[in-house]
Amino acid sequence: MATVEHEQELWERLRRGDTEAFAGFYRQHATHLQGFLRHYLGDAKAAEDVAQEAFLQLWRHPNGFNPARATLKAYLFGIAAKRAADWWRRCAREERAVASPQAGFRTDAATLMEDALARLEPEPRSLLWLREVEGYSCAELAVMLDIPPGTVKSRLFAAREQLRRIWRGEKPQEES
Amino acid sequence: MNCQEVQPFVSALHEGESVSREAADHIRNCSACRAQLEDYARMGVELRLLASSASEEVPTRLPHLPLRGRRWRPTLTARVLVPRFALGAGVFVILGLSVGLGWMRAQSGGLWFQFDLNNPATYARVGCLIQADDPAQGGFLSAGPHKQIGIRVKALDVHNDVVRLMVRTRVFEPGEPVPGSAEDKAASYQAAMGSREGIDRIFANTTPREFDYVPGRTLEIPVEGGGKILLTGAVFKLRPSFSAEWFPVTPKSDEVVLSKAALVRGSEFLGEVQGSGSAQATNSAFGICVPPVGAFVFALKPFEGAVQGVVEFGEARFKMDGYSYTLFSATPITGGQQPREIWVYRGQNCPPSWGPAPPHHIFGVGDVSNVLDALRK
Repeated sequence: MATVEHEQELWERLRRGDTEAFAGFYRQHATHLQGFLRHYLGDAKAAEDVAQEAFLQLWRHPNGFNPARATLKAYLFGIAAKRAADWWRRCAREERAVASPQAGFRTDAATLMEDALARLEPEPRSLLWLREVEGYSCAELAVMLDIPPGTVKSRLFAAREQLRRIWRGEKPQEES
Repeated sequence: MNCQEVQPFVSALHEGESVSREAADHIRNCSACRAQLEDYARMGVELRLLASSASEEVPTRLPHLPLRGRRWRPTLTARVLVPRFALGAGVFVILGLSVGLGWMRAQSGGLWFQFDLNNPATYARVGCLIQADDPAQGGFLSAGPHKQIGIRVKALDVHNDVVRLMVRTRVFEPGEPVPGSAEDKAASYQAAMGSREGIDRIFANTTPREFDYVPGRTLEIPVEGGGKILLTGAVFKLRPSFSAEWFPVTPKSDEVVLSKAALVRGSEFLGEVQGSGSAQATNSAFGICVPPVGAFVFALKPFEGAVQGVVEFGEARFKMDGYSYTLFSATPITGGQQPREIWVYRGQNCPPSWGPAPPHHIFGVGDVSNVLDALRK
């Protein structure tokens, strides 16, 4: 219950230009956001840049946030997802080669999942990440990505199936 | 139904939604569909593990924060007279800020402590999530048949193997307080959810006590004035998405649970409802505040002014004032045979003690009489 109170208070402080509050917010969410963007974009440097842009946009335009519709964190991730999509459209051709999974011997489950994830298209990849890792509900994702909840569900289903097929296909045969 | 037709329902099931009986029967008896469901669960775990390993890396730089609305070029190029002592002080401040930023980066990504507070006398529970240096504090006020208990928990230090807690507790004795008295103000316990000042006032005269809590165990916290609160919790490296772990995913038929909820009217998303809670009472109920639409009280049995709706696992649907509403919860709202009836009352306003800008939040759990009482305070 106090967390919500803290959230409201934080937003008010951001609107007033409180840099200390902003630094705290950054400290709390920067790692998660960059983790999400790194997997979305397949490029650590680009992820860092887009994360910075997202934080700056929130700082410069805090009134774009509507507390009745989402949390500040969800708003931040929404900004980042849109900026990442823009980045991808601009740089997809060059970066896609970088983001493709590397051929070679894979040894652990994490590598398998990372490679499988990298082979998904950016949109389903980001949607799965936001749902499974960041834990946003379908209703929250609908607000964040500005699409109907039903579309979120159908896209999630499609994304899961794509990832599953890639992941299963890459898995080595288990010893019986 | 065949596997192809059932596939979307497997995804829905993984999302925690209910599916048709026909789809459920197919999934239950089809090894391929069950394997698909298990794959989804494993993929989720692998993705979270992937995120955990990636999160070791601390962000390398903070964004620059120019003042909003300021035109920087003229400011930076303008000449100003600065006394020498002020210039010296400025350099000192800049050095201090640099040290501060370095410290802040080193502290990035602190551990999270998620815990459940449980009043065994009333079965009411809430989930809380805090960090060691977080100004937010977990709080809980439970209205039982004989007394009301308040507890406030702050994490002084969070480690994987032990969490140092500072706890304040108090009891609100039954009886009508004198209007306007200090006791009356304290008894307006719903203020605890509405403002920090309200919490501070309620716990002002209590003695803080420190506890070393070992994650995974149950800590019994004696309450000043009688009673006890049970605390169970765990430490997380990443912020947990919701507190479903702390509430029954298979609640009893006379129990209600709400966690990570959202309210939708028609196709309009009215908002996410913060807070989690559960109750098992004569007529188990919870109340949520969703401004500007108002406050809603949900109970398992009929009560005055309520309309009948339907609850089915994580969804409660009802019609009111010509609108269709759906309340979504991350976990099943109640147990027993589903779908089943639920009774919903709408108040025009949130509890008055929450002030003019109330948050979207649970304002009460317990017997419906207690929840309605909370709505009036």
